[in-house]
Amino acid sequence: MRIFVRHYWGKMLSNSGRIVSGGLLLVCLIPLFGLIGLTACGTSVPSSSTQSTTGKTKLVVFEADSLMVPFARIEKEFEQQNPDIDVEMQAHGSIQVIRQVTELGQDVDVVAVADFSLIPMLMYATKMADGKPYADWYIKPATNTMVLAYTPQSKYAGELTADNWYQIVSRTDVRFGLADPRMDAVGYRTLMTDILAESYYQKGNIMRDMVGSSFSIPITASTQNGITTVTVPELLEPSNNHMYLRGANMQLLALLESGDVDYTFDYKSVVLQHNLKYLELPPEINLGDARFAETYSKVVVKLDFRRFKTVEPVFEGLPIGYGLAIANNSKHQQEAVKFLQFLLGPTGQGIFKECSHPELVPPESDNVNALPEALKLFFH
Amino acid sequence: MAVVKKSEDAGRKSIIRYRFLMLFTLLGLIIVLFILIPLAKVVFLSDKESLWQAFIDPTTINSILLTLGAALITTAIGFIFGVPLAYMLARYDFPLKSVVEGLIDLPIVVPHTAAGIALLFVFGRNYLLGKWFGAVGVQFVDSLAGIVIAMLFVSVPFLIDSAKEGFKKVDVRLENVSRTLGASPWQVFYRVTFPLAWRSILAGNLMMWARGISEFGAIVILAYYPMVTPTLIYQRFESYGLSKAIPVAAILILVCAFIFIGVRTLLHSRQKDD
Repeated sequence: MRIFVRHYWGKMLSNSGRIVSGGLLLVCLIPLFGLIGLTACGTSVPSSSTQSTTGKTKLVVFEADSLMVPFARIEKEFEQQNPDIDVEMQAHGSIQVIRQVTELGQDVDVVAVADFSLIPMLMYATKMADGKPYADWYIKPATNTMVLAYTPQSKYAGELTADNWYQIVSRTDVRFGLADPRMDAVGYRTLMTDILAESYYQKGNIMRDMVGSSFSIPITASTQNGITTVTVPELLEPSNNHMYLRGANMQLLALLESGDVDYTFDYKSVVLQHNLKYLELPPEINLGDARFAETYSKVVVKLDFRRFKTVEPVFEGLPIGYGLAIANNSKHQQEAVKFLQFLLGPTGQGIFKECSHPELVPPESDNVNALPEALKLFFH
Repeated sequence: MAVVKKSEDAGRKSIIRYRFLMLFTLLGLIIVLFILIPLAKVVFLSDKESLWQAFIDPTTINSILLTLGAALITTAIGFIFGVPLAYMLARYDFPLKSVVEGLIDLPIVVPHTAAGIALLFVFGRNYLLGKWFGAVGVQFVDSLAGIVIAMLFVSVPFLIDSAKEGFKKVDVRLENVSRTLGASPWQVFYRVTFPLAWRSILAGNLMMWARGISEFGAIVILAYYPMVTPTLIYQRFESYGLSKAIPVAAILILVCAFIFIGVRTLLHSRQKDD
């Protein structure tokens, strides 16, 4: 092909003007027809580039924002050990990570999300063109803990204790940052922690005062048969100077560091990676202790609208568990398995530890039998 | 004989001219289609019903009005502070001039999230300008003021560059003649230079306004609410998916097409009148 092109151009340049313009005409028409052809297809043709420009195999990994720091280091180390693989990473909110695969048709090989339950909810339930689901197993490699993040300049930071934090954060002159619970797992987990705090501290309306009533259409909670359901309305617009809503928690960290937000909830690993101050919350409410799974299961967050084509969006209170999956339509299954082996292996574990991200040892999986052979080894 | 040759020459010339025009038309057409087809696809991808639903949805309309209005305020601020600078850059040499020129173009290349964070650390309530403005009751996080400074930062280079080129085209001798005829520097600028450069300045204003409307990355750091249309499109996409995001995008495209084509037509007809 390259030889042909060179020959073609050489001829065009050396010959008379007639051929030049004729040749140019042709060169111009090719992309034009290409363009028309592409748009005529209706749906975009997914790019099937198996090789990157450097001749390496490209492995596409989409990860939750909160995994950015350890994953950046894993990418570097993994590429050093596997010079034939070029890992391309993209960080999004966890729900977005999956929807890039199931709704936007992106060629993603590995997904890594901050809530493993999103994988069955969105990937098992969504079928590919051939009728198979986008995934049929997940691995839980890591956990996390909800903490209250703040800085020394946050209002009333000096008075903050493990017993009064919910009163301080609810004050109307305190600026509270909330990740949009419709998009970011930190957002719906914040609502869960608030509700759990209500029974732990025996104080009603913590969620309402801290979060719920700060919106033009409030976020409400109701309890039935011991289960509290938080309902997030379709329209979520802050109605006072207490509430600062952002699409992703990463954006809130900038506001926290600049002092424009006083407090926000985030994962402990992220807070440590950013050297922020934080208040540790009791295990009964921090969603980070598997011993309290029963307690956590008493809260459910529901979105008050039909959001996904096939799925009712309900998030159940669970101990925080990250989820890994290889997309069934990945064209690089082998490389993807290699990547997960590396991630679950000693080097990956070491990196998680150094990044203060708690791993789950040993990892768990919902469907060990369906795992690729090389990965089954981690579950014996 | 000579006559025949002449007409042959003319014929050859017209063929060359024809080829030249053909080629340029074709090349131009490709880029026009490259722009048109994706935009048209966004407009036609959503069915009439969901387009109408988005159009009568007050959230969409409010956000479009907010976006257009905020960009207009931004453009007015850019005009007040940018045009004098553009004139200085076009007319005078001063130390570090190329540094200033390079600096002005920087917002175009800075990633917009970084621009948003940079602005936050100047206009945030704990930082210098944030404190000053805070003292008079203006805050930049989640407010119109935040939207405006984010738009201003990323879009003002377009106005300054365009106005500068416009001023450069105005013959200095015209200004000198006016001066010798007794006009004050202010009168010269107001009566001679500005009227001759106004088309470039207006084109720059239009570019600046357009760039402001499209800004997302810097705004979303400073102000998620009030919600500008690019944020609304992002939020609709994130929470419902493409089917709810595309009608909003389509309406923004239609409104902007209407305005831009209108302004361009106006500019064009004025040009003919001149």
